[in-house]
Amino acid sequence: MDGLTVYHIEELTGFSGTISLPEDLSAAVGRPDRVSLSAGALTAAAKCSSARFGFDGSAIGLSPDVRSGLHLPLDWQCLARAGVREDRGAAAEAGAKAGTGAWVYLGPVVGALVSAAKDDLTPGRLNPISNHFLSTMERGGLFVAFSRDSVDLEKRCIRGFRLLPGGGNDWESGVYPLPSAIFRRYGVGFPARLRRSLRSIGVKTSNERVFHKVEAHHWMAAEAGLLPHLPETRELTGGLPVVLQMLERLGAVYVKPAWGSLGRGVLRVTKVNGGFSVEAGGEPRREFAATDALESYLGPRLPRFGLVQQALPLASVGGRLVDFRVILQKDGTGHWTVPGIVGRCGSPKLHVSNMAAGGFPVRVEDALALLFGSNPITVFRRKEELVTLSVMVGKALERGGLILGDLGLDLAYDTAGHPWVIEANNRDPDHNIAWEVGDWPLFYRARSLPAEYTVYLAGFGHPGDRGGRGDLGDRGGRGDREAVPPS
Amino acid sequence: MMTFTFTGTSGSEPVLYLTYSAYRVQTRDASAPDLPSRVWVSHGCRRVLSDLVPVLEEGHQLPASSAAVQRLGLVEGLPYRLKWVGGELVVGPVVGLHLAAKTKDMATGPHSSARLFFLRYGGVGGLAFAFATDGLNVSEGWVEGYYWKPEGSEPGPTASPGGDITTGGESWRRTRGLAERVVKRASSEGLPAETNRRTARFQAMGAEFLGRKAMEKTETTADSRVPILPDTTAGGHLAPGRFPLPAAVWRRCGRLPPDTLSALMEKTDGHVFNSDFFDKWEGFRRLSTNPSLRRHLPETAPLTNVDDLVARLAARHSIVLKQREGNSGYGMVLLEPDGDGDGCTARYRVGGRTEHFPSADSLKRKLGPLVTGRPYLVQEHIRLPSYKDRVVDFRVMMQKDHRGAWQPVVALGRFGSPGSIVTSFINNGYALPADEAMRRVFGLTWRGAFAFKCRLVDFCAEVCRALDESGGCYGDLGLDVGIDVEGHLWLFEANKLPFHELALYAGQEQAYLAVKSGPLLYASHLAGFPGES
Repeated sequence: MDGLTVYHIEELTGFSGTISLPEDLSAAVGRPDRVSLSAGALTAAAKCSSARFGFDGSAIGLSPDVRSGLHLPLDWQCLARAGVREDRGAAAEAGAKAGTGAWVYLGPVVGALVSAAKDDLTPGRLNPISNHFLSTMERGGLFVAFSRDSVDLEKRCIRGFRLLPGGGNDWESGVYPLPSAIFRRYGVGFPARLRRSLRSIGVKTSNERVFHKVEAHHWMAAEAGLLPHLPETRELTGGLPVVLQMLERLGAVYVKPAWGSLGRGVLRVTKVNGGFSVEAGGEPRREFAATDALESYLGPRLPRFGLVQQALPLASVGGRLVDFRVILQKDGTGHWTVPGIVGRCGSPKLHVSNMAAGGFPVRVEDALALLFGSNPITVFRRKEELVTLSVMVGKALERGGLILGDLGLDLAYDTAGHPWVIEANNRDPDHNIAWEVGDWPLFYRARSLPAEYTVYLAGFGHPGDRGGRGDLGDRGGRGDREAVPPS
Repeated sequence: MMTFTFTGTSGSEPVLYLTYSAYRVQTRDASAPDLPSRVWVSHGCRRVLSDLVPVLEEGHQLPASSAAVQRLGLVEGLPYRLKWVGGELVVGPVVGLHLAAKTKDMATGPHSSARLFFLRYGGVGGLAFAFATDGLNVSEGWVEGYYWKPEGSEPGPTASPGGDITTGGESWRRTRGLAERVVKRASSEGLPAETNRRTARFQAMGAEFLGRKAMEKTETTADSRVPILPDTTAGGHLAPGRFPLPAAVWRRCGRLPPDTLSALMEKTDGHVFNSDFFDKWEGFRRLSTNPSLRRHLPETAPLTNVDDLVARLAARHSIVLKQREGNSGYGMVLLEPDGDGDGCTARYRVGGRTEHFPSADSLKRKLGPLVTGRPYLVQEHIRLPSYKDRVVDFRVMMQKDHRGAWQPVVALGRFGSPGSIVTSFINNGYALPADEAMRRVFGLTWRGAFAFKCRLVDFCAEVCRALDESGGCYGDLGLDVGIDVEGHLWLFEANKLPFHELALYAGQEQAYLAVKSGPLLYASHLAGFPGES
């Protein structure tokens, strides 16, 4: 019951609608006659037998109908939380079904949404998903990969594959309870309606939808501590006049589409001796002497929905822009953490530092040493600075109301050594940059943190967070509240 | 993080002048009185009843009467944090790092390694100081030492009373030199890199670019440390002073008389870590009561009589003799029974020396003095895997973070000298990050090594939590874990004064700095001010 004990399932052959709880769980709920038993988002009522049938202290006995009703595999290793509903009204309401306020919640049931259609659940898609569960698998739980069209909201179950223990790529096809928490991969999302339905039954989805650059900017700008680190940004409403205004004041701006990624559609507009110069990714630089000429060129190229951003004098080394990709994620205790940062050296020709355009990644220590000298203490302090700034960004974005667990941030220094937040995105942040720079441990860490956070969202936060002394109050309480099965 | 500095003004009564935002710090859970009045103000272990006077003009500099500054022991110009606890205004954090027995032995100069303990001061603030046993006066409620003075704060006396002690700078340079040799040794036995075309291409580009830049720099400036950009992050230095007793103490030195320790524990409400420096036997006893950990502890007992030992050898079990309080495997002996008969072979730590005892009697004669001399332990021998004839085990540095949660700061594999029974890197051994070590020893892929490392650090966190439950307060432990040839984890020891430099010898300079600077965060947490990451 400490959230760490791993239980296993035993079959109560010859019984129906009955379960048998181990001593610690049974004592925690006051040895009731009936309990409401949940796994994932699925709940069933059951009689609670006081007999133990010779099971050991970690066995949860389930009669065959209860087990198949909850779609639980027989060889399941799970964690458990238990309690009694205190709210009398809710207890009476639940009592109509379950007959008691006692509840036992088995889990975590964690889902990875990996495709839109069942047919796309190929081994090629499934196998990389097992990397996500490397750190959580051994702690117990049900880890499933599923497609969007296999969600049965009515029956609160999904059809998909569960990862079998052993650290390999063995998946078992079947019907499983609807996970209580989900993370997304391969850019697959839920349509708004399904998202709302899942939310309403208490299913939490990390990075539940992709946010765009404009809203991200508004959320970040609401955090006073971040303002000195955000380039001046305005929404691109009304087209060219905004661009010209900003250009007049700042001399150089970027125009970015709200939904762009990988530097696509980014324009750089600069004022040069009376005229203008425009650079678009991959195209040669164009010069315009007058506003009219600029307007006729730029007009059709401006994104309908986007923003204009101050072009900062960013630090470069040997003609290459040096910037930083921060992997910002939430951990198994629900707190923001930075598993790693990778430096990027951009192409000497282009204004973007994307790998696709002739750039290459370097270790963060090397990138910082390029900028600030190789004194390890300076490098350490600069790295801390980037981490602190990134965590502030995470907290600010979260106030937008989305459940976020995995972000990619672009940070850079200007020529005065001041750090800037260039961009934040949650569109399947790219962890591959970690192995591209040769840091495999970081790659696997970045892969597993989203699953650890999803386990936390499912109500089984890792107790790594329990302080030795003091500091208990709010965390102990929060864990318990989140453990209440969705009703 | 909202911080305020205090500046002294005249006044013979304790008075603090607070702006609205200073006064309203943390109003949500505040027990702040509705109107400024007379309240208890605390700074470390000092408490003074003071008048609060509101100031209309907002700002981060707060005036305080000289009586308040003196009686509270406030250090002017430091970025303090404020909070209300039960109607009392707490100025903090005030944390002390106990680093040595004598103040003159503390390295506090501009290149000292003691500076590294304060690397993350920026996320903590307040008064953080290093002290030695001889600077501590618990009964009179003060301590003399060196506090971290962030750059930009008011200038003060910079000359230290005992002269400028910069031995730490020299030792840091020496350590780096030695570390480079150890790292070279480790890489000479390396595995081919697990790589692919894309990584290889990027790495080649990166290496070429970095190499060219390094060369350009040496050509132009002859100093590769000259930065392109200015360093605008806050630095600072250590400055001497006399302070109130801190609200939390990190013990990085064993030399503190027991009565002083208990007095300090009482004053700080137990906020001293690591509180108990238990020996190997006590550590075993504390953890062996935990049923889930019991199977990860090698059977251990004090060596009280030699007959008992002979009986074990007769049962064909190898055993290890260890000093109860030794470290680095000092004084360790491995006894392996012969294939037949009652003889055995002893293997010593030093120089891989061995000695054969043909009979039980000859062994008894040799070991007899051990029973009466320095306390020894008898421990079941765990067969650890080896790589190129080097025995391998793991050292995981566990620290509590700014939230008081245990974190594996760095996990390392230790490779002993070829043929040696211990895994010390001294005498031709080396250390590596745990992932790389697991690849070498167990022939794992990066993926397999990562999964294994997760098991290792989960286990270490469990051990640390069990130690917390066994009594005492800990925040900086170095766990020695063996992984036997079957993959089972064995806990050998939890070190209370862990050797942080091991990270340097494993080539992990940044991890070393993280380990050094971590305890300040937990100290701040214990002092009531959770730091920022």
